[in-house]
Amino acid sequence: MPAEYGHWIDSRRQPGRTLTTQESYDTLVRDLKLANRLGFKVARTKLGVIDEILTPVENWQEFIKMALPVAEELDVKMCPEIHQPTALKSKMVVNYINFIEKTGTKNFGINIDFGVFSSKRMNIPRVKDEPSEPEDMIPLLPYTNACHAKFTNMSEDLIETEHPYDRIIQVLLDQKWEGYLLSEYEGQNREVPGYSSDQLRKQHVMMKRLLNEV
Amino acid sequence: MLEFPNIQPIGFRNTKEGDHTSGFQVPVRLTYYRGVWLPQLRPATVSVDGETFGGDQITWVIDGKSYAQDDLPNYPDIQWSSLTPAILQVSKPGGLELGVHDVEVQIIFSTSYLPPRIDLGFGGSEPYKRRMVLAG
Repeated sequence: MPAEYGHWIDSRRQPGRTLTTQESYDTLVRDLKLANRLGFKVARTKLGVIDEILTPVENWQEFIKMALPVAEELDVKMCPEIHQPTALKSKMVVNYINFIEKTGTKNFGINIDFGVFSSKRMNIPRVKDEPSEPEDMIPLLPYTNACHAKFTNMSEDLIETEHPYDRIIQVLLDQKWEGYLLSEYEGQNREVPGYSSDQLRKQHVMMKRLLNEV
Repeated sequence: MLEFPNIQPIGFRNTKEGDHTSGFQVPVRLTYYRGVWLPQLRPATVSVDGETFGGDQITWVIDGKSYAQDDLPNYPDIQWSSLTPAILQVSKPGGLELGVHDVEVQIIFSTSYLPPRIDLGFGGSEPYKRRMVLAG
């Protein structure tokens, strides 16, 4: 079951300059066509960023808007991630929501990466970076079809020690949210054979318990 | 079949143009979870036993096609997949001597979803190193 098509608009692809709006549109449309052909309805649209807090390129609204009719025809929803160090309560998210409301589109949304809730911050110089609260998701869930279930450390008793999964899942259940959760392991020992798959299984058992599926 | 280190020993050999040994080649795999478009690549360098080669001394061979380093930006629709090695052909008249060599390769590419400050961070900091035998 295809869940989410990952793709990138590589704004700094060409050395010495940023991609034009037309070039950005062209690469985006190529991915939308592929996503559609492969059966995906949701795309994880990675925009190029221009600063430490992941503000997207200045012309994102232009080329995304240009692509909305194609996305609608192909039935694909473009969803950039809200990812640490961006906070759920931030100007960037407000801009995304305003864009959706202003255009009235059903083909653009957001993807919440649970790393925004992580107790381990990136400690970027001169950036005030606090974890978001799971409750901060509530106003954003109507625009969200897929989330990245980021995790970094499952303990032996199947608790994620750095992300508050009990509270995150509870918010999703309370809000009766429907969508995909994509597990994304970003902890230690990724190069150790077997380690991340073991972590993944532990995360899935935890999720099943939290979703009352056990 | 790709080996885990970036520098691949299969394909590490001297190259010929007609009868003349024109240089050598070093295959590398892309350590990245996705392929890169050729313009994302920035000029690579290859060092063997302390001698460094770069710029127009290096030609990229990807899926059987050759690309000069400064020509890479002109191929935005060609992708280097992480499942196939790229062959770095290095121009060095006479090639390398048969035997053991310390090979270093520095590959850098741009990733636009990282802040500009660390845009070249994936390949960037340390070169790949491998001691290998040139047998032909």
